[in-house]
Amino acid sequence: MNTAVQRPTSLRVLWAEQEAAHVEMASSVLQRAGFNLQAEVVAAREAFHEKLAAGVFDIVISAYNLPGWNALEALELLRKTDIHTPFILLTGSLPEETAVACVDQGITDYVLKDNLPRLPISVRLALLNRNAQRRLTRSREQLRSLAARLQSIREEERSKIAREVHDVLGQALTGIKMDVTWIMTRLPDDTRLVARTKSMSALVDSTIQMVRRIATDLRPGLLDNLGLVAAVEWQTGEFQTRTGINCRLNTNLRDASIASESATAVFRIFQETLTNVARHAQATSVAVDLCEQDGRIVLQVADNGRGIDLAEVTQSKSVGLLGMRERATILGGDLAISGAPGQGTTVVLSLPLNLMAQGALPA
Amino acid sequence: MTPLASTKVFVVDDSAIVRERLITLLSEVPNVTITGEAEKARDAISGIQKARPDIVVLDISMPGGSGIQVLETVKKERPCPMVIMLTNFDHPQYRQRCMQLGADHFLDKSSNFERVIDIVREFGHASCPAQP
Repeated sequence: MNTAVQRPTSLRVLWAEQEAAHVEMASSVLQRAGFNLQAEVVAAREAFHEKLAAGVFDIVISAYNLPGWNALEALELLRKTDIHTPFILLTGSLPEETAVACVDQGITDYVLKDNLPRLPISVRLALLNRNAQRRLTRSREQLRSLAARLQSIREEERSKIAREVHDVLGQALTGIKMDVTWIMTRLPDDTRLVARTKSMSALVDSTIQMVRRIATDLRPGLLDNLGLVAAVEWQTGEFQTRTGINCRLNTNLRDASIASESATAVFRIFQETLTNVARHAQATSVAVDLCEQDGRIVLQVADNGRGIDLAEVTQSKSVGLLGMRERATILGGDLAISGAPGQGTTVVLSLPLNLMAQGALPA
Repeated sequence: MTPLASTKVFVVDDSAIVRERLITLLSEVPNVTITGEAEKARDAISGIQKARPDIVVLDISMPGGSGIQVLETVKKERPCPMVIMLTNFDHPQYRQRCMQLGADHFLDKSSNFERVIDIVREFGHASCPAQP
């Protein structure tokens, strides 16, 4: 024999209903099903709004018709403050189109007043669903934090390696180059010796160029030393030289001192966008706009290529696109990609303009 | 006959290897005195303000700030020294910014460093024309 006694489930309800008898009947059904009810019952819109603002509820139960308003308005008020709290419509029969409208608006469930025994089941399922949604949201937030942290570590590592390569290796090579040059000016008239030293000097030169390229690929010093606009300007020119695709930059952001993490995000998203253009767009020209609009940095990259298929955008199979979106979201921004076959693709990034602290030096 | 006034040069570079070689090369130029050297931006600014050199040879990449900040500060001094940017950052954006901030020369450290010697020598000649 099972001797375990099920503990009553505490249930804080905000109840929108004008018929006290209906509340009483439904409450007793819930209590018999094991719920320890704490209900705030209201009929007026204002009272509902006040209760929502003041209290914490596990669930909202609402009749459809309320004095001077209805359940859809109640749902709208609830969703403005809370996306997870379940909303159960407990009502008499409704026209089908109204019921469909309620489902479309996102009510959690729909229970008829003449079928009250279904209410506790509906409530339990709604609470389970709410808990799962909360866990999912928390898990997404954790993943986002982790992604942000990884992104930041990756950037720090790249900066560190770029500095080591550029400053340590690059400077040592420059020292060698200075010595070789010094030797060359003092060599005796030995053709073979002069030729070999010149060849050595040329080798040092090409190695210095290689070191500079590796360091810049890891993280362009321009971004830290001169800021976002200079880095985007350089990247635009570099892209044009490398791909042969005409790339034009228009900007009004010249004097802005943008916070380092925002500058890095814009720059990396810009790089990724150009990589996508080079790989997939079959474009012959790219127009880049980097502007300040209403306290936001807006980067728009429009190409004249084959045009992205909207399915490619929505399916989000591309890790690159996902990474770009995440990077923007982490900083409170958003990324919009639009395109049509034969009409090119446009990527628009918008980020809040976080300025550096006054007097702060770039990283 | 009055003795020739020497040209005072201050060298700023975070690499000891490069500083040492530059100083050696510059010391071989007649009438040049090395009045100081620094490897960090902050030390560079205070050193230059104290030593009041005629010419500063200045790198861009340094710990604790960049040579661009040093350039900006030094060029506000009166009288301000001639500043020769000598850097491994060869992108045109650097040249443009440095010239905007008043740099007198912008040279690639590995391929153009010998120009520093020529410029310093020319500066000495311009300041002290040959005696008749």
